Amino acid sequence: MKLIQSFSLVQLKDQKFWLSAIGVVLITIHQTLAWKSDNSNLFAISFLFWITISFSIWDKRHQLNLNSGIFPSFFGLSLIVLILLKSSSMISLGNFLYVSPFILAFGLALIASGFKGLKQYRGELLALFVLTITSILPFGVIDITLFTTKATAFLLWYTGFDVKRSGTDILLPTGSIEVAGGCSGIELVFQMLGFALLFLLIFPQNLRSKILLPIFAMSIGFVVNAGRVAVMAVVVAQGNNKQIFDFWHHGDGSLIFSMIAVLLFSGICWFVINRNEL
Amino acid sequence: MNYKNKFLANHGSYNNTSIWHKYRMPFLAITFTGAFLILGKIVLTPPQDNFGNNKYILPELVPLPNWQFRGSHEFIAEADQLPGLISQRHYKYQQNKLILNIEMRYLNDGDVKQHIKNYKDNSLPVNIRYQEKYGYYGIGFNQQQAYLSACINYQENTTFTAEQFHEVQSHTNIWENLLPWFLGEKELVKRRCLWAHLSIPLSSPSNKITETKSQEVLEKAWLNWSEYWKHNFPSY
Repeated sequence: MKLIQSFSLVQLKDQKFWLSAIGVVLITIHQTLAWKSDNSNLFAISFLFWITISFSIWDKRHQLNLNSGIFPSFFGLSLIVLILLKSSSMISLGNFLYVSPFILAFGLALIASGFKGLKQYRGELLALFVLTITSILPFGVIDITLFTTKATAFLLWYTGFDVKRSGTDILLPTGSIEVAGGCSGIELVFQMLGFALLFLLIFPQNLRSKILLPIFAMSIGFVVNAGRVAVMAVVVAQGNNKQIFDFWHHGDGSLIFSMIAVLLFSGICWFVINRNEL
Repeated sequence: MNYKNKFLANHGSYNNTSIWHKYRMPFLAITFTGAFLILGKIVLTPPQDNFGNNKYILPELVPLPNWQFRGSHEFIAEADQLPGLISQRHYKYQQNKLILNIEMRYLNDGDVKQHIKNYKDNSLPVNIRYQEKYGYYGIGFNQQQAYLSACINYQENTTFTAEQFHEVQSHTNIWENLLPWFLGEKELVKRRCLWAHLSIPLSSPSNKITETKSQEVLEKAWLNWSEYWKHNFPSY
């Protein structure tokens, strides 16, 4: 009896070895494609997601129930095969690289633990799902442009500008801008939500923080983007300097604002961790 | 303790599916090997042109009925800064003494109305018109030139504003495109716009043309021009 048990234990260890080896290969495939597609934003963000998720799974490796039946195993395998076939074609991947991490992870989770075991990975899968949403969200499904315009007008009014708003137009005495759908900040909002979920994976919180932190993160993304639009409105109003406008619109200036959002949220996270330690 | 219980539970259920249990290790090993081989292929394959952000170069010569082709060149204008610009080219045509300039830009974005404001002339007046079976376009003139501008869409009508562009995009049937996309024949959603900007100079002394006449000329050329591109839309 003892012999059988120890034999099974060795096998269990082997199973973990194979599962993590498959995971590492799948992650490497995705990161290689992200790197080859010259999308540094995708590369950096998905790297952060993969590292955090791997750490989170590694952390609970002893508690995981790794038991999957024939059907979930083959279903998970076929999901992975589909994604890998498309990946290896290396043709017009585009947004596919934002979607594939979730499906790969879902497939591997099925192989590892079956349908019943999926709930062990719900945090990780949810985070990857948010990464997916950011890219597949077509224009107009969630349109927050009007809210963004209102928030921008409020920021400008609060800082002492003579501002008027009509629809999605922001009118300053010497110039006006129209807030287009791409400027609504919905990507930044979802990106921040993703970061909040990653933080919760590594630093588990009580229910109140679990609800509040994502809301804080999304609000920060929204407000910071409204600030970006306000800066652009002021640039336009001050004499239509295209270079400065482009810098804030889709140049490095727009990255500065994502950084501000991330830094602000890190501040909150730091505060939350410190409070827990007291 | 907890761990031991779980282990025993696992162990118990293994007995129920013992046949599968026997094949689980080979199954995992084969999955790993397959994935590893694909990784090797991906690492060794150099990225292709149509990999992520696509490269497409507009053709040098495009025929336009009733007009004489006078040459074309790639131009580097301030429109370089245009977001999502893939390719741009300037075509020149002549009809008697009339010169027709056509600036073509292949973009990821279809907000032509905004692009004219930002990258052309902020003060250009715009009339948006619609023609059955062709779609929307913007037309207008100032003292120097008359122009016509619109976005030619893949398998759809032409558009002028961002709303019209997104409306056209939403016609795409993703499910229908799924298989061709998977086989690498087609893109799932083609969010592309061929922005055509046609203009006729009005100020040159050699040709005296009224504004209304120039708009008629532009509209005629436009129908032929958009028709040509609908059939020759870039495949990537």
